[in-house]
Amino acid sequence: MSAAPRPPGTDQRPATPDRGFPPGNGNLADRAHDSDGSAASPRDTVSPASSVSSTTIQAGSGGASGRGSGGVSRRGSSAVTKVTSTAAWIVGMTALLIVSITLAVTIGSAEIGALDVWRSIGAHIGLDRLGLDSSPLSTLRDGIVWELRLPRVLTAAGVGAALAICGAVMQTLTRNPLAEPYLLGLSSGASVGAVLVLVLGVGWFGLPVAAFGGALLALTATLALANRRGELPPTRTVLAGLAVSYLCSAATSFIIFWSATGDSYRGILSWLLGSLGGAAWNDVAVVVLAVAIIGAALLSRSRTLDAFAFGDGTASALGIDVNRTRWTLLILVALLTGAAVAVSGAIGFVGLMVPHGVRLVVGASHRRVLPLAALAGASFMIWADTLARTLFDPRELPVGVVTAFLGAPVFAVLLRRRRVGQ
Amino acid sequence: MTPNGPRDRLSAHPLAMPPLATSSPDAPRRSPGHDEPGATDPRAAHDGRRLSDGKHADAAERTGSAGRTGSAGRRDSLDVFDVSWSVDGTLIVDGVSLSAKAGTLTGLLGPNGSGKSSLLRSIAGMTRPERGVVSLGGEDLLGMRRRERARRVAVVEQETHTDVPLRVLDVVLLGRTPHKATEHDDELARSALDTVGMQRFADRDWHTLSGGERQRVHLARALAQEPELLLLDEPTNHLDVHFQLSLLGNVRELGVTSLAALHDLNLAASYCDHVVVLDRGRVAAAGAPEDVLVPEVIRRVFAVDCDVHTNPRTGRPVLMFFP
Repeated sequence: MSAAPRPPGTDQRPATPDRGFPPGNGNLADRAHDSDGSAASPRDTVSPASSVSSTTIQAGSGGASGRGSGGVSRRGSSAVTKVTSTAAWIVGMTALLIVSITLAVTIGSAEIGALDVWRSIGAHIGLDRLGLDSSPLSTLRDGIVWELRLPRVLTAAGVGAALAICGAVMQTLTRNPLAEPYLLGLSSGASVGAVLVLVLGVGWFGLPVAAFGGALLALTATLALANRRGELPPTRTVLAGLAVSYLCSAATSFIIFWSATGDSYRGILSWLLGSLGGAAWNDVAVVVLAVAIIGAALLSRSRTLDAFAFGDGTASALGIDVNRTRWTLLILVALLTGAAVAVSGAIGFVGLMVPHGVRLVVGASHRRVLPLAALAGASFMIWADTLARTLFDPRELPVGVVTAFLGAPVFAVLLRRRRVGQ
Repeated sequence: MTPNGPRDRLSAHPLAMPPLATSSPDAPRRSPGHDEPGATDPRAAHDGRRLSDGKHADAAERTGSAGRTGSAGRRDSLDVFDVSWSVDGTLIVDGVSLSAKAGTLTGLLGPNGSGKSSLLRSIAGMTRPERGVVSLGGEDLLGMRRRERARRVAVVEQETHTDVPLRVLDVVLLGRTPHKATEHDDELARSALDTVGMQRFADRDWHTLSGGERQRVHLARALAQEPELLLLDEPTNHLDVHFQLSLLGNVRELGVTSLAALHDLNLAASYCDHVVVLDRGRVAAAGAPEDVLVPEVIRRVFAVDCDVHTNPRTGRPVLMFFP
């Protein structure tokens, strides 16, 4: 009767939006589900439960209550289990990261043992002065560890962590499961900057600076395009990012088409698909610092991010300033992505997949997802890069190719094994 | 009843005076003795209002009984005064005033596009009205910081979906967002699930729930917010009749001041203490269901003929429509 027919002519203003919330239409299936009896259990308990529980709420906020204490202890233990399992995951993934760093440094044409790795690290951070160990490595081997392999492995870890964090936050803020860190045109903007340096030799500054500058310009363009009365509507933001990306890609292709030859072409290709070759300690510093600072800032907003799960309306009703949050967090994410792009080029797939994989395992709460995604992304990227540089030694695959080859099957397995209802 | 113009009625409304003075007698919030069920007879503060008839005794009794089990300090009346909101130059909500007594359920009725949802969003502060005052227990809601407001006002929307894998308990915990995190949050969330009869679903994946179950979890989420005011936007949409009844029954039993936009007039007639009918953004009628849900109003607002009978078992009005 709500849709009571109205005689023509009594209609009101045209196109007045009655509901501010997106109308869903997927509920036919739900209704079918309602009636199939699986929902019978809660029905029977409604009224008695409600009177009991009001008491319990009061007890929860006020303090002691004789009633339901048995229930509380059971609940307490289940909460503990959850916390423990998250903690266990974090410890496990940290251990995996440390092992990955160590092993990845040992892999390569020169034989290096795992112990040598830590001996070298110990020597450089001054542990040998404590008299812990003093069987020095040869200068050559120490140089291989400290100057060549370790910076590269650590950069890979930093980039992987950065991309995974950015992907997770981006997917939440745009409510788009396909969102990835490069969504705002960052990678293509960075490419323009990088190609200008690589091909035309423009600029006195280095490639990372050019890439970062290009990324920031693209970001500015995207946000300016997406901005509507101070808001950043998710769909509009995604579309604006696409427009800027295509424009920048066209510019990149144009520059390559006109000026690239042989070697510079290969250089460009490897950069466009992502490469960690030639990573040095200053790259490590850039990306690891960015992950530490921006990652901590994002982690501190994890409850706010959680509130976006049911959309802007719900978030706003939960007391979140949706616009300001979206602006702030998107800019933070963009800076972090920019740092990653500047040192490694655009590496696809990690930022898209790792967060989804982590969510499938530990659920969607950002307090769990962000740290675990960072750790998983770091380890994943280390192994992807190790494969990229060793598979066809001495030639190097662009690491983006490896991430896609490795990531897609892992993702597919996770997707198929997703447990429903725990 | 003779439907006056809405303006006429409203000018006689106690709220024609700015309702902001926190010390007004309408606002006994946090006053001593307020927690005692018997001490707050909603009628006392609202003399001369249409609702203060025999019908209301039953509402007062009910809120009294809810007060014995519900938590204290939630007995605040909602006062909306002259709220307007427009989008792209079109007035959607046009100078609406209404009030909801502490602990009662008020139904917001009206055809599609009459501004129910927009009004709810304005009251919740999700959109900022151009004009008007909204106060809860005498405190200005619109001037409050968002987070502060979200500690007092919870919203249940008609249907919301999410792509991310969330446990039911995680959804309910979202209600704690505006509050400081404490170790009681889990317990509180589980109690809220108890209240809506969903305690056994705490660890289920949100996506495995049916529409009715989801809506109840959203109600639990709103309860975990520990609101003084509950706003519901067509909460019973797409629910089967059992869930419609049990959801509104749940809301009523809470004893929290509630304002619900409803499409089903009979549902409103059987559960609401007070109804407000909107038409083209204005209040077309307001009062007790049996005074407002009469053939003249229904014809004028919904352009449908109807007869009104009395439900022999509940004594509530039942509307029968003739297309």
